[in-house]
Amino acid sequence: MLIVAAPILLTLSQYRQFRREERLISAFSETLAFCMGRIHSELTSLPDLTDDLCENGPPELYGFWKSIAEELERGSEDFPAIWSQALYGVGLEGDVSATLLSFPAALRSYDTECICAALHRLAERLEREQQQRHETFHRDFKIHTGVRVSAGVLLLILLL
Amino acid sequence: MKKDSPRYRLAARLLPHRMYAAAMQCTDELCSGAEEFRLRRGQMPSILAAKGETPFFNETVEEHDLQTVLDRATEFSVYRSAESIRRGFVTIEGGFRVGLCGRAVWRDGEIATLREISSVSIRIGREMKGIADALYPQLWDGERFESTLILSPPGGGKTTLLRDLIRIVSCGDAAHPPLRTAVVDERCEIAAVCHGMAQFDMGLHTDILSAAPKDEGILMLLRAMNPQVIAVDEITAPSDLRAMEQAANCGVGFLATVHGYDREDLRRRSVCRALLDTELFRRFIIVEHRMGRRSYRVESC
Repeated sequence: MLIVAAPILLTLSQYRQFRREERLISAFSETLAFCMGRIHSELTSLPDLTDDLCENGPPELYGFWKSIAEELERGSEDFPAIWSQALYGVGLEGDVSATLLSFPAALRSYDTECICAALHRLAERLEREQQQRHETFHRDFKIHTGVRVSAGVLLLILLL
Repeated sequence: MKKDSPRYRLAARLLPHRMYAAAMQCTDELCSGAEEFRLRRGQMPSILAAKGETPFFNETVEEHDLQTVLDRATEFSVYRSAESIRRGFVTIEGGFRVGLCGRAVWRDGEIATLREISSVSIRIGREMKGIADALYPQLWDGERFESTLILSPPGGGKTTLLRDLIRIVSCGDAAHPPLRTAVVDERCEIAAVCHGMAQFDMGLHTDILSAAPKDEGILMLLRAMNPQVIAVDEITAPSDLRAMEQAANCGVGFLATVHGYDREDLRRRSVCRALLDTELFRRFIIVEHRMGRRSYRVESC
């Protein structure tokens, strides 16, 4: 039974992980839109933005923003380092993580128009990568699931 | 101000970590007179006091050190302070002013921003409540508050005295009623408003207009807030004088400061001479330094 169940459980776990990452990426996209709005209309500072996101941002990222708020409160010198450490804690990998690493650089400008343009580009990149991930996962998922289930059934027949 | 004083520590916290540690190890003598931390790229950072500048850390200031100070001063949000940076300073919570120097970027005939920051000064704003208590009764003529001009050379403590006078005028004392006071804080130095809150005690009846030019600010306050006294720091332009005259005609009293040693010294400069000729001010507070101590002299005319 275990031999048959193992590939199915593995598939389910992979699907769960994919869904979790999907939700995280969507949450980051939502956050970028939130930041653009606040920076453009209210010139909200980063600590205020962080506090706001801790309470009103996507729930998936509460912990992420809370850790950043704590580091800012502690008086850390280097925001890119704080950001990358928090991002590492979230568990996103690959291209998405690399894209999100450029968030602190996007805030570097003196001009809110430039910041919004940079955040907009970042959001577009994120969306493209999410789309790509989606396609890749579904293609691989079908193949891998088929192979694993077939292997499991074959094993079961052999054992019986 | 000793190194364990909260104001010294708060100002030092703007410094990069390595310099903060050094600033907190300075002698009490150096810290007690500290007026500013000064960081210049390629030079050792120093503490500015009445005696001059004294280095407090034996490594030179690098580009990233200046960036760290700017990041901390703007809370990693330079975009929020862009307008202020354009004018060469950032005011932060606690009433500290960070002055900036670098390469000015010109656009449409005016400074658009500063790039390549080359030096930074962190001014430790002081609040000395009570220094004007003894002077205040002398600024009245019977039932009437007389417009007062504070004279002192740069770094003499004009703003500190002005701040305390605003507080007393606004609160009143046993013999005099509180007056509605308005402040035009052009360089955000008097009240150092941060997130809408004055960082110094400005009294109970004070309205503060921050970051506005003095001439426009005076007229704006006159129209909007119906003040009895308007306070401004460092009168330098003829347009300031014109605005003050206009407000004085509406019965408003003034509290103002100007660079100068005494009235004779003012007469040597055209704008200040014009200021005296308006006879707007009936009281003069002259800040004097003797044996390292400050004293105040009130003159009437």
